[in-house]
Amino acid sequence: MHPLSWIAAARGRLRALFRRSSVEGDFSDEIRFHLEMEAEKNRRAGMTPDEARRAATLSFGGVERMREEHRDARGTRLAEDIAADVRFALRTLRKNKGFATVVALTMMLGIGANAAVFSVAYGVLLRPLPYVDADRVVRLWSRNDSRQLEFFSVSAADLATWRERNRVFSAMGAYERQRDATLTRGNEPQSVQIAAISPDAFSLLGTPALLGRRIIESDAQPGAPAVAVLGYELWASRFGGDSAIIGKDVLIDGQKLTVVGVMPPRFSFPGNAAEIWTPLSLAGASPNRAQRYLRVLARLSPGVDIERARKEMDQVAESIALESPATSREWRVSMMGIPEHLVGRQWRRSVIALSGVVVFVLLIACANAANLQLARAAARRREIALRAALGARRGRLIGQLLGESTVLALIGGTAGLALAYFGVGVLRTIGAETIPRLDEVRIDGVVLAFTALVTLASGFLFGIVPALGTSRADLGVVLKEGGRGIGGGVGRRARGALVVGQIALSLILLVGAGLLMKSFARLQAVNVGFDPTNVHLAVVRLPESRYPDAARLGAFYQELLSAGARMQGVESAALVSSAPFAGVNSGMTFVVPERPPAPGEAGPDADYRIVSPNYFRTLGIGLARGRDFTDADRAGAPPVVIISEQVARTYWPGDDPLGRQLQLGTSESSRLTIVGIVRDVRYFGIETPDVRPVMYFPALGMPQRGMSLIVKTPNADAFAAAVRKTVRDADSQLPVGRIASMETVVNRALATQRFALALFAIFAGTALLLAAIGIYGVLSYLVKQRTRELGVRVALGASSRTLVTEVVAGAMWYAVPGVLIGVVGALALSGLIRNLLFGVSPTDALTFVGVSVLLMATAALASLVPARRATKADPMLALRGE
Amino acid sequence: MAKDTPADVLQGTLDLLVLKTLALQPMHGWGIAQRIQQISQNALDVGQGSVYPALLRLENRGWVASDWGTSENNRRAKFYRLTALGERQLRRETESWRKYAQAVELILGAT
Repeated sequence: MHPLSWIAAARGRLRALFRRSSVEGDFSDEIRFHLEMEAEKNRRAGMTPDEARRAATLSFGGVERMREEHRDARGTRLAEDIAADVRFALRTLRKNKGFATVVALTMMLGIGANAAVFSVAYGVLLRPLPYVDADRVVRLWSRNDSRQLEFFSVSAADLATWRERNRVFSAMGAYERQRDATLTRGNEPQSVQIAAISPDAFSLLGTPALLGRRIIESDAQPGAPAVAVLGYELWASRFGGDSAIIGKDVLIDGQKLTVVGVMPPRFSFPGNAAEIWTPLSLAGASPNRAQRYLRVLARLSPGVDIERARKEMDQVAESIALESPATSREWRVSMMGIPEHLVGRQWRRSVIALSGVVVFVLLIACANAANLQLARAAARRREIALRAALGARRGRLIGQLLGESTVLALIGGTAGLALAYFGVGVLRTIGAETIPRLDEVRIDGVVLAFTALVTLASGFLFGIVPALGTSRADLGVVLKEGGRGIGGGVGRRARGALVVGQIALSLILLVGAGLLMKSFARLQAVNVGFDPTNVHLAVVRLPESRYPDAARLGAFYQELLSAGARMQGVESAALVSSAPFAGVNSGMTFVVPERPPAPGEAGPDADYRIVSPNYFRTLGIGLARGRDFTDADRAGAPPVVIISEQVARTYWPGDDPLGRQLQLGTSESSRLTIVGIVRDVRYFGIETPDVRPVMYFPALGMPQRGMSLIVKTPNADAFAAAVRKTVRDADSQLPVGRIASMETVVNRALATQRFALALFAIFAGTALLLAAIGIYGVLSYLVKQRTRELGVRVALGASSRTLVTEVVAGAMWYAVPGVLIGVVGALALSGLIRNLLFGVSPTDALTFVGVSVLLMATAALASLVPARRATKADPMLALRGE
Repeated sequence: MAKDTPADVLQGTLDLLVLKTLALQPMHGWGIAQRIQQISQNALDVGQGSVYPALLRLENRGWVASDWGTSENNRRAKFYRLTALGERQLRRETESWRKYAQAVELILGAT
């Protein structure tokens, strides 16, 4: 067709569609004119007015048929039919409010859950990162499998060699771990996170600065003026979003830095929570490959995939290991794409598992809605068969039934969106500490589009089976059945299959929930090695500018500790370099003097903490043997160390290390006497299978720049106030870091599991409820159909017990295959949540059996109501119903 | 469902006849129906009403356009006229119709 014709046709159709009544009106006018003209001609030819009109209509050839044909020719038939279907559906549903409400509520649950979880999945996993071609950027680590270090920092010397020898990266950059610093403005000190970043790391990510510029090569040259780039959040909150900040100075740890730029919102370096970035120069970095302290980013060269890069970097690492075995033997490279690194493998899998869960819930909801539709359709077979007999085409009947399900889905979807809006709020609250990028989760255009799609798809899904089944109705058969509306084999089989499917899907979800519940109980039962009850923590870090030496550090912390001990109601107070679950880990290698390592071998290694006397008492860590530190264990006194039982077990197996010595570094002068052995403590996480070995050194012997005060006291608020006052009195320039209760800190370590469990439990519960409704629906329907038979049997003296047993056994017809299919499905799928489980196998027999029993019981329960109804069947009523 | 009427069989032909009629002068639906009947000497037994779906089809394709106007006896009537596209279409269809008719004639004339 000619392009102009297309336009004319489209215009005609649009006009016809949107101005339907006026188009129909025009056509009526036109026909009227025609008939009048024809009648007039006939009159002139000598007919009577009546004859003339009749002849005119005859020669026209059927006004109504022409009207239909005209409508077809308008090309808007489909749209007009849809509009008619929707109007018809609304009318029918208004007459069946109960049915409509149940289906809409079911769909609301299914669609709402999907919209909420999709908005999380999209925000966390799919929303583009603020980097140029983020999926081409990778993070690199040193890896040492024999020491179980998968993601370890990189030495500057290794980085230099990597750069030199690889052919897979177009750029590489590095940055340091962020550290606490004090930002001073006016008289208000504020604790901020600051990190040194190499200029190439900035250019590699490619994100342009919001204001000013990023850190560039010349900033990292020796002797360059000291500059800083601010993060958006800090700039907005602390500097009021003032664009005049560029070129101004800020005071960080007493040092003046000139602000040269502000980065846009959401920008950060992967795995680095810094708010201020300063230039990192590697010009004078140590050539020692064992000094691993850098985080490394790289951009893949065009055409190189991550697998090839991995292979090549392992080769590079092997060549380094051959050249410098002392520092690099067994060290290889780990690599991860930035999107995966930012979200974390665990969360990625969790969100995917969760998405699977809500799809299941939606399917169950659709099955339920379809079931209800089928039940209703069975009752409407007469109506539909009559309409078919009166000439409605099958397509139109299917369209009408689909119209109903679509309208219901739309109502459910709209309500579901409201539910999702509320649900996202809940997710943000309970997941705030655990889900990365959660602040980016919201209901936006993408989520709306997704929801609309899901809504229409599910309307089609739960409408199509009933529509196809019902529209096939054969008038003769239906009318012969009399008004009883027996559903026929097809409907019943379809409904049975839907219920079996629902039970199977619910079982899979319940198995997931059960496994998580069990592992959560296991996690909570894990002995962390300390008692967090009533213990509170305050983190303080002293800036180098004003506390340059050990004496000043020691004096400040001694004062803080004694102030802590003086607080009202305090049972015990202590200092620790890094409290359990609440700080960075530190470790070092040492030498067991009885068994010095071979030359070139590294000695054993253990984590360490620096603690004051009473640390073990405050946290309730048991002292197995020996003694705690005392005030006498200070610089100048004989050096001492306390070790954990894991150290004793690992390095003095079958021996008693108490009173023995261990040596730090290579010099024999740095030998410490082991004066105590304490119980093991989990410092990191609850899930790690092994307890790490820990050494404790006395704080008075080696004061640290950052320490945490821990205090056992029932009064949390008084503690927080007292700490703030003490710090302010001691040093008005000093910010107090985090103040928290140890119980909160420990709970947070369980937050991911708790979150996953809560969601699984909610969705599995919804699924169970929906399945119960489904079973109930089908059985009540079957019982209703058998009213007559049952009534006769009651009249003949059948005991109600027999009838109840029969109906409940009928439920088992659906429950047993459903459970069997579900068990097979759960066995296949439960491995997907393996990473969320702790101490529980994904095929845990007890959970599988328990959930199966639960579902069977639910099915039996759901069938009890119809069963009782069966026993009440009144023979007279049943017979009169003929 | 509609039965097989001459209108169904002759739909394409009817379109051509309507175009041809309109090529002479703009006209309303009744006039077109009269003209076709007259000129064909009632040989084509087409229900007068069939003209209207045909007109709508043609209008949707952009071959004819319509306007409300006043008829010869002073009534409101819808007048159809041929567009430039319609003229071209008419030429093309006339030509292909003639070819077709010739071909049929040849076959029927062969002995």
